[in-house]
Amino acid sequence: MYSFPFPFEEGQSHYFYKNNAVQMKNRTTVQITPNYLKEMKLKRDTIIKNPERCFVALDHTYEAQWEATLYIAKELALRYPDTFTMTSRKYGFTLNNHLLKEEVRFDYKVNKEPLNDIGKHVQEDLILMFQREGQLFLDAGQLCFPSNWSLAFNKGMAFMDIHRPVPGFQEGQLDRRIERFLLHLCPGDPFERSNWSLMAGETLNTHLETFPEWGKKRYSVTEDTVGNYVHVRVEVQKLHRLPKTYTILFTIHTHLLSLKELSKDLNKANQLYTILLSLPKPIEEYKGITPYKSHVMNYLEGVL
Amino acid sequence: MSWHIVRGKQKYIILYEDYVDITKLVRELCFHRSLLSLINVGEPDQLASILNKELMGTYIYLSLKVKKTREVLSLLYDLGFSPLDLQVVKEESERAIFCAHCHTVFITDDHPHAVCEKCNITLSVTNHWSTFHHAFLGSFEFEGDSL
Ligand code: HEM
Repeated sequence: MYSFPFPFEEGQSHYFYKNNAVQMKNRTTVQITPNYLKEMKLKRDTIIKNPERCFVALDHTYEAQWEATLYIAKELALRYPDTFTMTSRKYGFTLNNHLLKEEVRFDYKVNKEPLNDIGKHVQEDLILMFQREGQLFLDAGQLCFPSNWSLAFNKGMAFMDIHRPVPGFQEGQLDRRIERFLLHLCPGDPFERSNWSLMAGETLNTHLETFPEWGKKRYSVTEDTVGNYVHVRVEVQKLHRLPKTYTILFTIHTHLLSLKELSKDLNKANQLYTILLSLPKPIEEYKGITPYKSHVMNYLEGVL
Repeated sequence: MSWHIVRGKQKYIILYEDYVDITKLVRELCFHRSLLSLINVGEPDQLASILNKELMGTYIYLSLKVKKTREVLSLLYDLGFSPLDLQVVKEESERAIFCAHCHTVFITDDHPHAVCEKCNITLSVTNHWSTFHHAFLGSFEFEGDSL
């Protein structure tokens, strides 16, 4: 049964930054939700229209892409046997996707961008981080549903440099501590965390490249539309160390729920309200909430 | 111009152009008693064959005009050098900007706004620096009025 991944810890009543990654109990990389078909169509359309926004891979990344592809395909076949079947061959495998009614061949070195190919069967964005000289570099990834960032810009960049725009992320060397944690990630011991924001509208493919198209919706929220129009946006992020290439597979599954739906649970509405009250201004601005925050607060006060 | 000295490499190379003054950098590297080669960047073909012979552990400083920097960087990446193997000596008066909309990297003077030379969008220049593209992110205005 699908349930929206509410991002706050029990009892949390104010906003703070910390390494909120926790050891994963069920050790999964991906999840199939009731939105699968809709999201796969959007993902594929987005890739066709703007491939350069959605996929990057430096030359040295092939082995890791292939390892990640196998890792994900095996999990799909194992966890969703009614939906996916996988038939292995000497230099590859065939994936049958019964939801999409597709049979797809994956052949080592024949598929030039295996990560991009397997990504067309899962709702997650898939990022590969490569470890060199004590740093982690984003050298390959498929990204269709980003929260206002550009994969093309971040290509080849290190973890610390990627996070430079996040306000407060360097305070108390949080960035270094998180990087150290990631460098010590071990195969077979995955972690997960969630990231949250609010957004005006229900667009999943909010690339930085198209900010002028979707960003203006922030200014069109009104007292009457706020409940249905503003959504809580949660990214469930999973971190797996791949055993052969020692790359980190970072998967991001983005979930949206309207304020109105969320407010059916008054405890959750209350928790969101108190956390929003304590949100530091720079973070509120970074998350893009400022233009319509007062409407959200009034709405939640009305509900509570 | 600004750079930082990365120590402990087997050899250092400075790739330079005639009209870029590298004396300070050379002096500093010599001070650290490093094995140093200076290469005046001419035709990229010749450059490729020279750099191809370099061993692992060679560290490269690029002291070039921004436009030339871009050509040489893509050559270096093709040859298998990574951002960890090199450093761009930054010129203060010129900046390379990565357009958030169309991904073009273009060169402007030191101004908080820039117009992309390919897609003509006005970008606000952020201080988010890419060690891969060697450019600052030129992003969109986040003010409601300008949308
Ligand atoms: C290792 C893989 C990871 C990658 C590739 C990654 C990438 C990113 C990117 C691209 C952004 C947006 C930056 C921008 O605005 O330009 C971001 C934001 C952020 N990341 Fe990461 N990240 C990773 C892991 C983590 C981990 C492990 C943590 C914390 C434990 C973390 C915490 C955050 C936070 C707090 C934000 C700001 C989000 C917000 O406030 O909405 N990231 N990350």
